Amino acid sequence: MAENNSEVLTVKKKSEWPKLISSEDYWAIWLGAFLLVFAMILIIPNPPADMMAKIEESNTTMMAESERAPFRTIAYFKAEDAKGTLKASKVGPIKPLFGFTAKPGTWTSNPIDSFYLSEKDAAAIRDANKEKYDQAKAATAAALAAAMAAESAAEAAQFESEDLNAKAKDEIAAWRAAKTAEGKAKKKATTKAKNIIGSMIVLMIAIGLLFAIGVPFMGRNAKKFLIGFPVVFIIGVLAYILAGQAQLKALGLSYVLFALVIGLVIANTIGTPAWLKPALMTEYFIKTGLVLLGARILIGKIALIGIPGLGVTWVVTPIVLIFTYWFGQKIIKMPSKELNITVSSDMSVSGVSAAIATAAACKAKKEELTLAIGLSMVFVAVMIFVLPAIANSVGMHHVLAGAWLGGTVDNTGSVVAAGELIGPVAMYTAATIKMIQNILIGVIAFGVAAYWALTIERERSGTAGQVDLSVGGALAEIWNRFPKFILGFLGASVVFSLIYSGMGHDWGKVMIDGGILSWANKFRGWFFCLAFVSIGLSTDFRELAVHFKGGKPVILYVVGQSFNLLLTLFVAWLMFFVVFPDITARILE
Amino acid sequence: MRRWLSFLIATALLGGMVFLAPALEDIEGWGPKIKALRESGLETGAIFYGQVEKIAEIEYTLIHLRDYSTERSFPSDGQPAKPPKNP
Repeated sequence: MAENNSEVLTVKKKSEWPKLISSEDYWAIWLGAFLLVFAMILIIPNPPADMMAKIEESNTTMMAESERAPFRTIAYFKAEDAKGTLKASKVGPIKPLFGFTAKPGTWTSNPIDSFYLSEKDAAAIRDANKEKYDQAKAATAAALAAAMAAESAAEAAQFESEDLNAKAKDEIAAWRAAKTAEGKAKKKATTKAKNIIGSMIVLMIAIGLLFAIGVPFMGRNAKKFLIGFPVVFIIGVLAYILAGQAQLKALGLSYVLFALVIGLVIANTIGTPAWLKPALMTEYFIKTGLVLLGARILIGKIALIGIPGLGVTWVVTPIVLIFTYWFGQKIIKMPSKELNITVSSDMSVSGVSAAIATAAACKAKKEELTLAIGLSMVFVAVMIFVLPAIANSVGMHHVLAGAWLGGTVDNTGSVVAAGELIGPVAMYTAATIKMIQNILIGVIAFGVAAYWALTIERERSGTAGQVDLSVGGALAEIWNRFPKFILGFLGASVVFSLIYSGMGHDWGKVMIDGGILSWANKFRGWFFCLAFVSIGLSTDFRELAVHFKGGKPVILYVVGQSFNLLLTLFVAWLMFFVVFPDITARILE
Repeated sequence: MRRWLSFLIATALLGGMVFLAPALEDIEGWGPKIKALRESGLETGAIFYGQVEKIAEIEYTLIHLRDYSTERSFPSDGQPAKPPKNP
């Protein structure tokens, strides 16, 4: 997100070595790597007790149950649950550190509840929910008894009776639902007093000092950065508090939006004070967050997903992305290519996370990213409800509906929510499709960065006609212009994908998902939040209005999303009902 | 003075939106859906799959389909029963 195009116009072939300690891109890599390596050092030598034995025991049970019955039995689910409780974040020296990464939680009518709850209030919540919890426990026990009876009946018929098998599966599903409800009731009935003010102060100091290390190397004043940083952090906390309001949260309005809005309100009314500006290091925060996000892009997870899902995402997503970019450039002639590709990526790939990665890869301006995310948030709050309503009203098949939602609704959380409004099959399918799109972010970011380095920036610098067609020439050109933090982003993805694949899914689930990445996730959220506070505080509404001229971004989004809705529906039908109907049958099982 | 007035108005609008948000559940048609999502506890605003707890459950289902599920479950393919795949 370049402040201007001067960087693009003056590409010089300097040695890369000094930049290793003076460039923001490299500092983003160092800080991201530090947080990941720090977590690895604390987590890997300290797995949960008897982890491998417990995993082995669960796997043996699951395998035996799979051979015994044609559906997931009660014993299978219990073994799966036993594996699921293993998390590296719950043991060892990392456990107390997790306590310092807490952020404000959900609240309904009193925002203070999000970060402070007295023992008296907690006791009142516990008392109010005790009866519900007792009822939920009784309901679970009854559901389990019914499930056991149905499973025994199916077993007595040697699992040959389709009716008895179906009855057993339904009863087991009802037991699972009752168990989930009991879990929610238990959470309320065991509410504890909380006060995260102290831990947030510690976190603020830690994050401030972490970023301050690199500030002087980049030629800026660390002291001035540290003076302004607490205010940026406090606005970030406020954004988290607002985003925690239960009904707004249900609409899919993320902390990212509130961070932007609060920053914009301050900057465009009373103005951002000069002493605060040195702390508004948008790109520094965002790139470090992206390096941590890269670790989450686990390529091996694609193997879980299945061919129809890959078809829907890997066919539709690039077509929609390219079509939307082409439409913006050739038909409505958007003046900014960066805004064009950021909106296209946001809308076609996976919403905010894709927008952030793409904007950073093509060096879009902060106003352009703001616009793309604002558009996404507005449309997503509508699509969460409208698309399931359409699917339900026309009686759309739940697998098709899920694939449609997964391929079109921005942001993973919103996709899962929209699927929930249709049913579990739709939710599973939708979330699966969105996971693959999430993993595509790395490919898209790399592709956009390479295209910008090789084509767009060359055109702007007037060297487009002097193309060195040799492989070496092209690589040198890419290297000179390529945003280097993308290397950290991709490197983190490759390293963690290799570890995950090498150690196996079960180990990866406990140690990486439930440990290292859980740790990285906490920091990534804060870094993106700080980045969007910084964007808001340094954005002038008049600059936003320039990009909004003629409503072109809205036209682009609406046309692109309409195309996306139609194409995704068609390809999903083709993949799930024409080419791979057997896989659809398996999903329904 | 004018700048502070603008700030106060904007803050009041933002605060008003947040404090009136519970009333969204009273809107006919959409209200029950918003209530259902709130009660589900889903992280609707999550921007990446790693932030959604439900995804872990979905991954287990995918693993079941890939590693443990048997062909016996799918009579539609007309094939005889096969042993489960090795995880």
